[in-house]
Amino acid sequence: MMRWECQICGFVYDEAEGLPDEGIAPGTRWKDIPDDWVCPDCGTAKSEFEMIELAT
Amino acid sequence: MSLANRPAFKNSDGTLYHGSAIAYALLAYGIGIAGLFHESWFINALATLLLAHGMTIAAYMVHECGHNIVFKQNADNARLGKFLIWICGAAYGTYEDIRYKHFRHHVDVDDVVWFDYERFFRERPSVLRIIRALEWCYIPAHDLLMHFIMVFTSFVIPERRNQRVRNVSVILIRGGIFFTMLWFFPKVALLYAVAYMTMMTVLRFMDSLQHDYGYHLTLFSKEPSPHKGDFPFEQEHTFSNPHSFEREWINGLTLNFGFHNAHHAKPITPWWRLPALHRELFGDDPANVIPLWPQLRIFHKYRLTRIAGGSADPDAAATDAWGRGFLSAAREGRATGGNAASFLTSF
Repeated sequence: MMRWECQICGFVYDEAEGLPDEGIAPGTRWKDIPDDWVCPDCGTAKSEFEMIELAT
Repeated sequence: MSLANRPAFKNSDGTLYHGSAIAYALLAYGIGIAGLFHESWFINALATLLLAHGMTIAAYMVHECGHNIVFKQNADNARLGKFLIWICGAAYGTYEDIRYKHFRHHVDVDDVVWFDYERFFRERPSVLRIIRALEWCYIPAHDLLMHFIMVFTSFVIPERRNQRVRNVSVILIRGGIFFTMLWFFPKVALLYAVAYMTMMTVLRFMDSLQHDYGYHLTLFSKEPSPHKGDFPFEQEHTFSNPHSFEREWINGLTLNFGFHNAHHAKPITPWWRLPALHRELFGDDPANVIPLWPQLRIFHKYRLTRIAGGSADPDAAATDAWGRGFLSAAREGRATGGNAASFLTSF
């Protein structure tokens, strides 16, 4: 499981937690999130995220 | 809060740099206010400067919190940001609205606003005359107008009507304290106002030349900005204005906000790493930044021109210049820059 951080606003997507409010189930891998998905915090594109760490 | 539950800084050196900035802002605010009560005018003057600088650092720390740079947990960043907007007088609206407008600025590569101040001035020439007269005296009247709207944000902006309870509460608390001071300690209230306007002047000085694109009235619409996501365009129209390129420590006075290209290239970079990021991305050539002296010349010479559009001054050759042309003109002291771009005014 990995964590990905928005390079604009610092929002973190944690694969283990997913984003249930956005319909993304816990355990959803980053690569399985659609390319047109945008950061729920600032609206920037998925491509502006970078992996920050392997979640424990 | 126990030590175990204390918010953890996001970066390994954040305890030193962010911790120091937070401590300085709070101490400068407290000591500055206390110094306003002193009998000595000399102490009053020093306290006013200290207070202004403490509020300035608090404002830039709100910016750091907004980008979730300070603490590991974003909820902790939000808590600190919501506290600091009280210090820098931006608590009339919400912290979330400040962030929303700021991220539209980053993501849309635009100045996305609600308030059309150029039209406002066109339709109210008498107000414009007053603003121009005050600005001639170096009173930041244009930005005072913006903050005045911010004070009554939920009564002015239809989309924020649901914030009226909060808005009125903040007005009663802050207004109550200010007018109580004005009644019992008028010198303190007036010096606080001077400190606040000094903070506004520093913020607008830094903002004035950092972008050359105008504003679009799309804050509450879904209309996409023409250059949304166009990061090469963003860099071409973003400019860095450090106080000094050689003596980097001086830029700490405004938490390195002058390294604006670096900030826009990687917005989650903490303030103390911006100079190194600038040199890594853009090199050591000082021709890539706007030096301090032309900035000061522009700030003085075009202070009236900046109020509404800036196109009325034939000497300001840069009014039509964009990108590198704007940078060249700014370096020669011929760009007018803009007002009312503070991230503290969320409209």
